[in-house]
Amino acid sequence: MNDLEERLRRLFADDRLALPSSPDVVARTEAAISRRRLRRLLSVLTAVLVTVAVPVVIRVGLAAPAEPSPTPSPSPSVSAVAWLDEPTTLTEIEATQPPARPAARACAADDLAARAVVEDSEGAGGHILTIVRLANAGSSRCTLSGTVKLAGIRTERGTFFDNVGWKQYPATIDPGEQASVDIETSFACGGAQKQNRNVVMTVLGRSYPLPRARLDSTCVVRVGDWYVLRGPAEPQFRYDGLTATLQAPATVARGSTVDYVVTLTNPGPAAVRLDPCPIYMEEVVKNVGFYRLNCAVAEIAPGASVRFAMRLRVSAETPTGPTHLLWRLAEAAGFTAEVTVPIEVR
Amino acid sequence: MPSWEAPPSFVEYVRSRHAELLRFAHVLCGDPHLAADLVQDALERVGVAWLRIQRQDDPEGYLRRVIVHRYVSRWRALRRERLVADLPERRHIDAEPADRELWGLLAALPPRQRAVLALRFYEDLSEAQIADVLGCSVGTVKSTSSRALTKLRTGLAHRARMSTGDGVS
Repeated sequence: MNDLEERLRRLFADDRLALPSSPDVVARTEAAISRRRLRRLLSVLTAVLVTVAVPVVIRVGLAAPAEPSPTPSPSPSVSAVAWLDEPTTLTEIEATQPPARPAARACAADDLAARAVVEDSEGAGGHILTIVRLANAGSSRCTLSGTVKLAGIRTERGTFFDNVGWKQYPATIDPGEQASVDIETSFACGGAQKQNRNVVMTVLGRSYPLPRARLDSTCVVRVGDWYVLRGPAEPQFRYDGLTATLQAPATVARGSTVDYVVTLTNPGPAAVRLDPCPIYMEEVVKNVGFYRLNCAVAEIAPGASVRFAMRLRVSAETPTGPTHLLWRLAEAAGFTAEVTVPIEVR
Repeated sequence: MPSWEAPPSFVEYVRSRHAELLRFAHVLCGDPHLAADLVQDALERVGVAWLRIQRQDDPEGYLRRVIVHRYVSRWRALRRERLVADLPERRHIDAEPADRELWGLLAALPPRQRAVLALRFYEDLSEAQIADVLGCSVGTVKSTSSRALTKLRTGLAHRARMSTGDGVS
């Protein structure tokens, strides 16, 4: 082992990286899950309500000026979408998970590479996962479905680690891309160990020797279905076409709550749907808040503007003097629709 | 709507393993506040399906996968900004390890590279296991690990040159 790897192990083993466990973690988790359930229920109710109320809200929003003249005390409730008291965290931002590929034509034996690749793993808890990959050697996308046969080995169907979202079934693969199938062996069953060497896999009637595969097991060997690995794509901006303006009082008092209005404008030629409902960040000095936008307005039409009421608590410890109020949408790809206005804390 | 009540086995699990999960997340992301958020988020996601997940072989492995998945896929652009815009009301945690030089260099790695190193050198997973956790091929794990280690070596060499004055023109 080289010095850097050893240094990394020592670093990660440093006890100063231990963090104190919170005694109320279970209570917090229970409360958070209850809140999530309640939000889900409310979103259903909102969806019903929106079908009635949204046209009115949009008309009111559009009637308001895109860049209202500054006033000491904006009255957001009169002409803006109401502020939604739904604090959140950055972990709520949805990843850009690649959509499931639609199935293509079924792969034929001639589409597949002449050799399969075996990657084995030590697994956990006495289980060993062997992953076999087979590439599409053809000239077009095709779908490999079902499972494989292992000559002379008793098998049963199984699935492994399918809950995280990396695997897509069946395996719709482009030329050069690999389909994968999982084979699980285990010594957890007791009894005599069966040695399964010189394994031969059969796919679409073609035999593939797997010389690297050692499927020794005391349990019945479990075999999954063909899948394709599709990790999260690089996140894309959804709302970077929107611009924001902000109307806030010129001065705010420490320890007070400031109400202000953000106007989102869509200067583009296509409507921008607020789905998933975006998260925004607001900040005055170090008073930072992350909230979900009130998406009672489902979309912003081309050329239209919608006003959103906002609220930010300015802590009593905030330093006085001139500073800025920052507002921006937070996406997995970064921040968009950013706007900053000068503000004085007194 | 009735509030959600944690199953007793979940309560027991969280109480016994929370500190270790926090530590794993801290090694993974390098930021104690973010680590706490990641663990809390994972507990909320796993909690609702706990009875089903518990029936599988390795609930903790599942939970760690969720933590890694959320870290790698959702924090690319925001992580550094979050470190800068840390919330003032949160309690400061003195969580700097002794090897601050290497810890600092790790902070500059992209999440996926850092995750590979944490899974390899903290969790002691094999390359195949890491590939399974991250949803990529073993080849990708190898190249990602190699790039990460090269970046760290380069950073250490640069700092060594600076400290001896060789790098000052």
